[in-house]
Amino acid sequence: MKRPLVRFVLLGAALFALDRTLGAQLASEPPPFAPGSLVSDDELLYREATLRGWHESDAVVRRRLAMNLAFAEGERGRDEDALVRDALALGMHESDVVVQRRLVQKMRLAFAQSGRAQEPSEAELAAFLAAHRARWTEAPRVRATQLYFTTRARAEAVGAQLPRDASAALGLGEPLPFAAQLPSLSHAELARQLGAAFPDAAFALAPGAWSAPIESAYGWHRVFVHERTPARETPLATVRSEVREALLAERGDAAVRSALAQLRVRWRLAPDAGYE
Amino acid sequence: MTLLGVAGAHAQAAPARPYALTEQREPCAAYEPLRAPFFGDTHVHTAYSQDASTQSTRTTPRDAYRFARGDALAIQPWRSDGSSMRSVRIDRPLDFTVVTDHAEQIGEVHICKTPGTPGHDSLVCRLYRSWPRAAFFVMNAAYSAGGERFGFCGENGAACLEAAQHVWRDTQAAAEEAYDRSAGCRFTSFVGYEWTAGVDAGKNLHRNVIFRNALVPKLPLSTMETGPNAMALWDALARECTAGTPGCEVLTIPHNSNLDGGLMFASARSLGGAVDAQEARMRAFWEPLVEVMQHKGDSECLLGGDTTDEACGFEKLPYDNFGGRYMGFRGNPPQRGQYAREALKRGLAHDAALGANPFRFGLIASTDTHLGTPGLASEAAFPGHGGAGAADATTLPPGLPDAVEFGPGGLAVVWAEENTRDALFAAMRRREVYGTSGTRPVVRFFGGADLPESLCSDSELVAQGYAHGVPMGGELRASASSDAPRLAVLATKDPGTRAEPGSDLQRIQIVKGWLDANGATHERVVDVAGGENGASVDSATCEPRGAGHARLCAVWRDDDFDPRERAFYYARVLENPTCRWSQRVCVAKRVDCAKPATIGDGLEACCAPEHPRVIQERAWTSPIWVSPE
Repeated sequence: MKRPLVRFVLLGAALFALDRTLGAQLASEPPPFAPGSLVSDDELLYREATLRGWHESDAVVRRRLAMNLAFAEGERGRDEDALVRDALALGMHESDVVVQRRLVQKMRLAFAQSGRAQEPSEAELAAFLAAHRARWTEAPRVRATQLYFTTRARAEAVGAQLPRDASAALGLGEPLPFAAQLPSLSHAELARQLGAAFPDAAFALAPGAWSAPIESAYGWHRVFVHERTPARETPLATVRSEVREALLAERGDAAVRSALAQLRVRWRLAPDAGYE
Repeated sequence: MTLLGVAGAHAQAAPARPYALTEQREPCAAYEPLRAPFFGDTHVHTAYSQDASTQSTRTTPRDAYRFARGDALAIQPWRSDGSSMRSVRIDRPLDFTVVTDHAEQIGEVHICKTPGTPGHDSLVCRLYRSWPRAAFFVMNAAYSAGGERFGFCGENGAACLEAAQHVWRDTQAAAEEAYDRSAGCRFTSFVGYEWTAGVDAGKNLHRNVIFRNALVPKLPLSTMETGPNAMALWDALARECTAGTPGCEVLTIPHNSNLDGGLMFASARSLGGAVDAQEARMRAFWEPLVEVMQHKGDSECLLGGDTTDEACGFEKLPYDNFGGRYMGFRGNPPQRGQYAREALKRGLAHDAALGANPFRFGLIASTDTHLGTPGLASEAAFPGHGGAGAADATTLPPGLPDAVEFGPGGLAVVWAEENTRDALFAAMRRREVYGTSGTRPVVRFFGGADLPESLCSDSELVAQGYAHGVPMGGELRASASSDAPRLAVLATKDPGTRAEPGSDLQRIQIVKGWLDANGATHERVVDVAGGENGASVDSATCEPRGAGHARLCAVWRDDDFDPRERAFYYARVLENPTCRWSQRVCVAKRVDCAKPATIGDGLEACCAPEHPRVIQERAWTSPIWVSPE
């Protein structure tokens, strides 16, 4: 494989084989674009749809074309087939935004459906869930009351006065702009509110007792943890439909990308149009 | 004697859910009756905006919402294989975001990008695809010139309006998908858009239009339909939203008054006309907020006249309208009447004369990103803003990523009971909001004659503030014998992150504006906590020097208070100085202004005398107004 000529011949053979294979799957036609053209994905999808004849057969497109022509002619009473035939002959499908959008969407959906056709097995769902664990894991959380003090000395001095009932202690601290009673917060949420150093200390506390002074971005705190909720891996049974949908969506997207790439190869186009 | 009556609904401690629920959704697990600060961005452009798209922004509204929640985002320049040369991410997610694409020409942009549509092959669309920078000017000029649509839009613009409807529906769908309707309440999106009025080749009268819930008009009402006067916009919103769509509620937020050429805070009915009582009442209803800071600079105040406040010399544009940027001869130096503080003062005079204050607005800030990157407001890694900056389609420009006078913009902070559309919208309506220049300090501000003097040592400061006064955005009424109000302000620094710790606070200031018996307005700025602390930044290395405060608190009484006068007070919280984004780039590129060889292409501004190397980040609260009974 060190010789450029050999590489070229093999690459050419591969492209030819791919081209022949695609020919069996995609509509056969003369190339609709000049080789090397910059063509957007939507343009490709629209062209493929028309090569399949969907502009003649799709019910929504037919209604639209018939309506357009009837409006343009200002006559009533002609049947839909005749109107559609004349509208197509006039090329009206090439200049109607609704027709374009309908065919692009339909083509995209058709490619996506081919990727979604096979029902995932339980093993495939479990593997997908495992590969995307972060998405279906509830972060650990802590619900606490914090009393704020501007100095460590003040935070230490209050120690003996701290009641066992945290709600009875709210008057002992100094004011902060936000509430002393923190809702159930994740590590990241605590860091956003009290600074990066605070969550590690708060998550290390045992529930049901006042902490020693803990430093935050603002000063010192006595913290009473009411409840800790550990990280929870959501079981497949709970999120099965969500996981299935995500997996099928991923397969559908992959199928669309693959089909578009095949069309670009088949029509010898530049890899990307640069516009969405 | 006490300062009488709280004009709003906040004389009592905040009751549970003091707002209507207009949506089907789970209640939030976290509900804070004394309200929590929610950080967001109310001004975000994506590829659906003509100017952003002609700057190669490909971000969709869905991408923008994902970015706001913490996902990384690829941005221009793009390689030929479609991959990007840059990626950005915010270090802390936002709580809420409004995507506000320009309503003008969203249909046209869609047509130009969608093959097969009528107009796709028009000259304008070909220009759009082949020379986007030129199309930016051509398309802007076309709609600014009187709202005429291009020929390819068809009769009465039908094709472009139909395409606009498609984009508008997608914008709504993206907001719906991003909105967390579960009990977690992790993120709120709003449906919105920008109404982009401009007159006289660059005088900016832009407004962001924000809807309370998913019930919105069929089309975003643009200046193509309303013309450039905001009264027509409000009339149209009243017709299409309030009256025409059951359940629809909306407000509008003006921005960039620093580019208005002196028109934003004049009559919204006709250019050069007088504000009458009806307009004053309408404006007070429709525009409870003003965006005081964003990518294109600060609009709080300008030195001159009775403004001797040095902190007004902050992120100023050197021209008074956009024409000044692109056509130097069109610009004048900025005027004080363009700035929010002057408008607040002017509002007091209108109130005395008309019985209604058209400029009783709260303050927020946002980014105005044209990359679809809400909340990307840090000075540390500013990639430029796409729509108005130097970002290019296919190459990474050398030097500064944006014009030196621009910046990353700011953030909006809303005090609300829970992170839902209803709660946040109600807070915006009552103006219980503040803006920051991009950092995340937390600020409370209360006013009332009965506020205890000892509040700063009272852990129940917030509860006391609501019980005995009004929060930021509130109104107080004074009788002839009323005592002076006390103002309580409590602020904590931005805690930052491990990688980018927040700066200490330097001081809290109270800004007072008032109208005297002779009808003249005045202002006064008082340091009420902290003060000059000698902190600075080494601009050669960007290392900060000196300490400040993690938290500041003050209770201040206005000893010059005259209960017969109308007045407003707002708090401004200043941080210690840090390196501005542009100086960070200059330092990273090793520019040494004493050695011309080190000044690379695009870095000339590093050594310009007008280059501000340092920024003093800040927060502005909404005012509290005091009016005679």
